[in-house]
Order: sequence, then C-alpha cells, then structure tokens
Amino acid sequence: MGARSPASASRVPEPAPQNDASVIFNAFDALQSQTAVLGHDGTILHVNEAWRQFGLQNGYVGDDLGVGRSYLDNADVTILDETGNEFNVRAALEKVLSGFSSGFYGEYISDSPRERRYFSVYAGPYVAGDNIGAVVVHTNITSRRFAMAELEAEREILQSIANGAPLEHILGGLSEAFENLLFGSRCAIAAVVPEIASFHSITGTPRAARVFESISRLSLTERIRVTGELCAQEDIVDLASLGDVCADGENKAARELAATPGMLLTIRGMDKRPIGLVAMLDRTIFTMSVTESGLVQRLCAVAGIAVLSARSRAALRQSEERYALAFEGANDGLWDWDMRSDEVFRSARCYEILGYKADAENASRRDNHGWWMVQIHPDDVSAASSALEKCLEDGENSFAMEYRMRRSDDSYCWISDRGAVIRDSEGRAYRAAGSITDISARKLAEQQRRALEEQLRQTQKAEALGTLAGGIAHDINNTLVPILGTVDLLLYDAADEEMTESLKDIHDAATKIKELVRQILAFSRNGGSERRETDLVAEVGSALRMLRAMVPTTISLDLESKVESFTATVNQTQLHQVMMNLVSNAASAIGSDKGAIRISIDQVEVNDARKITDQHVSAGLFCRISIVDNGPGIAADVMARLFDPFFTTKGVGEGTGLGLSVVQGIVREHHGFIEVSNEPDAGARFDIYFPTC
Amino acid sequence: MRVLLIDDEQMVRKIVRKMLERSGHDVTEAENGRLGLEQLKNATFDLVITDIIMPEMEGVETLMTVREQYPSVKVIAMSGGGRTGNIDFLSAAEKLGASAILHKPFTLGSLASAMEATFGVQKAS
Repeated sequence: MGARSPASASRVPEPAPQNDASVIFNAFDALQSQTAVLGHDGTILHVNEAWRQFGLQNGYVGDDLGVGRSYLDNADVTILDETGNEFNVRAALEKVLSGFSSGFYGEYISDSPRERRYFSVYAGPYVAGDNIGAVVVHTNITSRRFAMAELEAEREILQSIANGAPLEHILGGLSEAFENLLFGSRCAIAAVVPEIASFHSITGTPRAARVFESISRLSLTERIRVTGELCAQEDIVDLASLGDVCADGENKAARELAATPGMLLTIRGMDKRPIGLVAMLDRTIFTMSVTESGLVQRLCAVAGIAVLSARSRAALRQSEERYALAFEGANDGLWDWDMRSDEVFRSARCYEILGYKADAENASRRDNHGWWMVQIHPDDVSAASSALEKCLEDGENSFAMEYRMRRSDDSYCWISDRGAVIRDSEGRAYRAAGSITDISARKLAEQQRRALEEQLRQTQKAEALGTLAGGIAHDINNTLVPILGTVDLLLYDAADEEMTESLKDIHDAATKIKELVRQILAFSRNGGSERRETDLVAEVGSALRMLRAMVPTTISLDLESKVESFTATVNQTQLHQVMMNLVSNAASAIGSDKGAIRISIDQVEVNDARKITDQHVSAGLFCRISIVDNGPGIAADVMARLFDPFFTTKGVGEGTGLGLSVVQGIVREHHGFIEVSNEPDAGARFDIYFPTC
Repeated sequence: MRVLLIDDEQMVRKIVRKMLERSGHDVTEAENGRLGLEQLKNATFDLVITDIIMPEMEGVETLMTVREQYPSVKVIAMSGGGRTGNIDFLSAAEKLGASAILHKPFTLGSLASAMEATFGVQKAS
C-alpha cells in the first residue's frame, strides 16, 4: 500500500481582505487536517495552513505545495475503506466530481523516513456555479491507529497468556507487535534471570537476538553491569551508551554492542525488578515519537505479565510435580473437597488403598463427601464426623484422625486422614484438602504389641498371685499340721463312737483344706514361661476343679475325656489361663439362665494340608480340648472379629476384650491352633489343639 | 529311737513330738537348723526330721550339713510347700540325701510310712 502524502502543492494565495471570504479562509486554515479545495477538473484551488505545514515538514518547498496542480495525477492509488474493502482514490474522486457520488472515506499508510504514519482521506462534493468541485481532507490518524493496533496486539497477547501458551510463543507475538508499532525496527526479547544476568527464552528477529548473544559473551561482571545497570536505571537505553558501561574498550563483544544502532527496553515485574529485556535494532531512543514511546512502554508491561505468568506457571508446575512426587513416594492418597458442591477429587491412590479399580463409571458415584463417610466403620464414623465438624465449626485450620474404612472386598483397613481447611473472609469453611495413608500394618503391630503387653501383665499378675498363694499355702499347711495331727492322735485314743465320728469329720475337713491348698499351689506354680511335660487330661481336670468355684451353680461344668492321658509340653499356668478364659466366656454367654458347659478331650491326627498351611502348624498328633456351651452361639459379625484385641461384646468395665486374643496368643506359642464354630442347635464351640511333645 | 525335730513353728514341733512319742521315740526339739546342729554336737541321734523352709538356717543347708558331718544319721524332710515359688525344695531334699519326704500336713500314717521307708519295718519300742 503506498498512497503518497497529499502531494504537490503550490504557493499560498495572497492574504485576502477581511471580508466574509477571509473569515472562511481563517477557519479553513484553523483546521488540523490537511485540507484542499479542488475544482471540477481536479485542480487544487486552495490548501489550508495544515496542508502547507505538512508539505514543509516533509521536504516540499515552493511550488511543490501543489496549488494549481491536478490532484487526480497523484490519486491513482488503491486504499481501504472503513470496512476494509479496497478502492481506487482517483476513480472515487472522479465519481464525486461528476456528481455520481456524495463522497468517500479511506485510510492509508504513508511512512515518513522515521516512522510509520497512518492517514485518513475524506472527499466530498461542493457546488460552484454549474460545476461540482470537491473538498479533500487528509488527517493523520497514526496515534489512533497505533492505539488501536496496540490494543489489539495487547488483547491477543493477554489472550495467549491466559490460554497458557508457551513463553517463546508469547514473546514471539510480542516481538512482532513491537516491530509493527516501531516502524523499521527489528526486535528480540529475552526473559532475564537477573541473579546471574543470563537469558532464557530469547525470541524474535535473529539480528536483534544477536544483541543478547553479544551480551552473553561479556564477562560475568560486565554482563551483570550491562543488564543490571541498564535494567535498573532506565527503561529505555540506547545501545551506543553501552560503550560507557563497558569500560574495557578491548572487549570485542562490548564494542560490537556499542556500535549496533538500537536500544534496549527493560521489562519489569510487579516489584519493578527487571525480568526481561527487549532489543530493538535500527530504531533508537532519539527517533521515537512520544506516541511510540508510550505504546512501547505499554507493550513492555504486557511482556512483563507474560514473563511473570510463565515464571509462576513454571514454579507451580515444579511445585505440583514436587508434591505429586512426594505423595507418590509417601504412598499417600490425595483428596480435595469442595464443600459448596460437595464434590471431592481423590487421587487414584485413594481408591487403590480401598481396593477399587480405576473405572470412570463408578468413580463419579464416589466423588462426594457422603460416599466416603458411609464407608467408615460403624464404630468409628461418629468419632470421625464429630472430629471433622468440630474442626469446621471451631475455626480450626487442620485436623488429623484415624479410622477404619470398608474396602471394596468388605474388609476394613485403617486410615490416617489429615487435612487442612480453607475459609472465606467470614471464616466459613468452603474447601478442605488433605491426604490419607493406609496405616493398617502399623495398627496391627500396635494391637499385637498391646495384646502381648496385656499377656505379659496377665502373666506377671499370675506370678504375683502365685507367690502370694504360695506364701499362704505354706502357712495354711503349717497350721493344718497340729489340726490334722491332733485329730489323728485323738482318733487313736477315742473309745466313744460318736466322738470318733466327729473326729473323722474334722479329719475330712482338714484333708479337704489340704487338697484345696494343693490345687491353689498347682495353679500358681511355674508362673513363668517354663514348660514341662504335662498330662493335659489331669491338668485340665485340675483347672476345672478350680473354675467350678467361679462358674454360677446354675451352670453345669462337665469333663469327659476319650483318652486316658495325653502328654504335651506346656506351660501349666498358661493352660489354666486358657481354660479359665474360655470357661468364663462360655459362662457369660449362657448368662443367668440354666446352662451347661461341656469340656471334652480327645486326640486327633492333623494332616490336612490346607489346615496345616492356614494355621501355621506341623502335621501330627494333637490333643483336642473342646469347650462347648449351650448359650446363644456367636453372631456372624462377631465371629470375624472374635480374636481382635479389645473387641468385646461385654459392657464397659465387664471385659477387656483381651481374653480370646490372649488365648490365641498362648495356643499359638504352643504351636497349636484354635477352631471356633457354632453348634447346630445352639451354643458356641471352641476347639483348642495342642501338639504332642 | 532318738529323733531330733527341727521346725521354726512351735505348734508343729509340739504335735509332731506327740505323734513320735506315741510311737515310742525319744524326741529333742530345735527351733532352727543352727540350734539343731548344736544339739547334734552334744548328743547322738538316729534321725533328724527337719522342716525345709525356715528362717536362720535353711532346711536344705541343715540337711546337707547333717549328711556331711553325721553320715550315719538319717534325715526326713518336711515342708508346707509354696512360698519359694518355682523351686521344689522337697524334690531337691530327696536328691540331697533325705531318706523320705513329708508334705505338711501329714497323718500318723504318713509319718509311719516315712519312718518305714527310712529304717525298714520296725516294731514300736
């Protein structure tokens, strides 16, 4: 496109006398736009002061100002109308002069040697006698066009930033915008790492990019001085002044820079720290108009936004990657709960912990807070909900809790759940995010440790009881010596039958006390972990005689052995404890009703491969002690947790929930195993297997 | 038969003495092992019946000393059991040379059996 300036003009007409016409000419001259009056044939009749000034500024002198010449001679050019359609100025003007058109408007570029300029041209008819003439008005619309172009470029670039386009792409667009706005320049932009005065993401015209190469070739100190001083002090610096900055005249790169016609513009961040440089070649600070300088500064601000956003995106990405990596390493699942929509994002690991496969169909069903709460173990859900509610309502910013979750196979795992709450300005929680960890293994270890501790405590208690019982037994026995001895002596001498009878009663009673003491001693001896070869039939019998006193008289307690004896290496105290725990459990299952506890002993050969694997025992001969009651039996949900430490069906303060886990611990220590079942009619059956020694 | 009866319980000594005297034995009492050994220096005995768990000098120690210094003197050990936990002193006493053991409390019959085990069947003197 290349319409020329309102070309050829001629000398100004002599000033007219102050009449109506002169008033019109004064007004004509006052117009800011370059305006000419054309005759019917297109000859320039009059031009205004703006026209004349434009001619002078652009090197036209004397007759060249155009009056008397034909405007049409220079009008054979194609320009654009308001809607962007091309038209020929000469043809359009001829239509106006011949009365076929009421005028036209168009825009064109007419660069000066220094800058890009935009002009508009308007032509309209006027009637002079019988003929139709025309008024042609040229207006410099460069500022408006620049502002519009700059706005458009800015809009596009901000759009790319918002879309997350790569920094190189954005800076490339900016380079073009700079070049378009700063006519005749070549541009390159570099994002700066000010700390080390190096560049990354250099984009733009290769020749301009070489400026940054030159800077990069400087020694580090100079580089810091060049970029540092340039960026820190001025927003726009001429490259020629780099000669002063780099005192070392021998430095080739510095000389090269100083010899390059161009300038450096600083891109600044929010805190005014330099974060980038724009190199503009072939245009210098001295050839920039005020409009250009303003527009360039606005583009620098946009470039600043681009660099900052790229930096924060990179930082965010790095941080996200770091977190993702950390969580992956920690094997934690992540969750993010939007309370307003109740939607919860959970990472794949969350579902993996619970044993769910990644399927999109069911995932949406689970992506809410309610689903999660329903999966929490019934015994833990109220504690978990109230802990969460307390945190949300009391203004706490974080919470940590542990609970059991139902897995996809209906088993439960222990979860540690930690989260942070995000609140709005009024303190209302609207979002929470956190992580979950599977702590089942830790929990199991803890439970086992506690069960072992409890077992140890029980053993210590038994030992203490044993010592106490031993002491008492010794004293009772000593006291019984004179009683039994005296009765014995008296029996020798007794002549009277009634007296003999009475003495025999005392004798029997004393003997009974002696037997009782023997049993207490049997229970208390070997309180430690010592095992010895023991006849299980006799030992169980001895234990039951002790237990008879504990079991209510409404419940019968019977022992039936199918074998004469069965020798096994056991800890007798522990065997007594096993019997005590199982019999007292059976008794409490029966409760206050009439009932029966039957204990039977027999021996069985265990060689079922599956049982051997499941129970971790060796094949061979086992003594089976069965404890069967006629209570209500064991409910299915209780059956699964029977041996869990601290699980109890008894009321608070009535049971520790450790009885059966202690039994299991003891039996396993003896390389035996336990089987539990319900009797067909009613009642529970515990079979304890001890291996032969 | 001359019997030295050692037990820290006066009540026990009293009745066991009666039981022994009924069978015609000559009984000397001692309150503990140390006093018992004093008696052994001063007089001749056929049998020592000693408690195993006593203060001052333990029955086991007494038993060992008697067996060592007076090999011809027989020893019967007796105990009420308990008190000392895991160690079965009566079994130990048997291994250390006690001819018989008596679990307190015991009847005349048990005492007679222990005497028989020690000296063979004897007619009461």
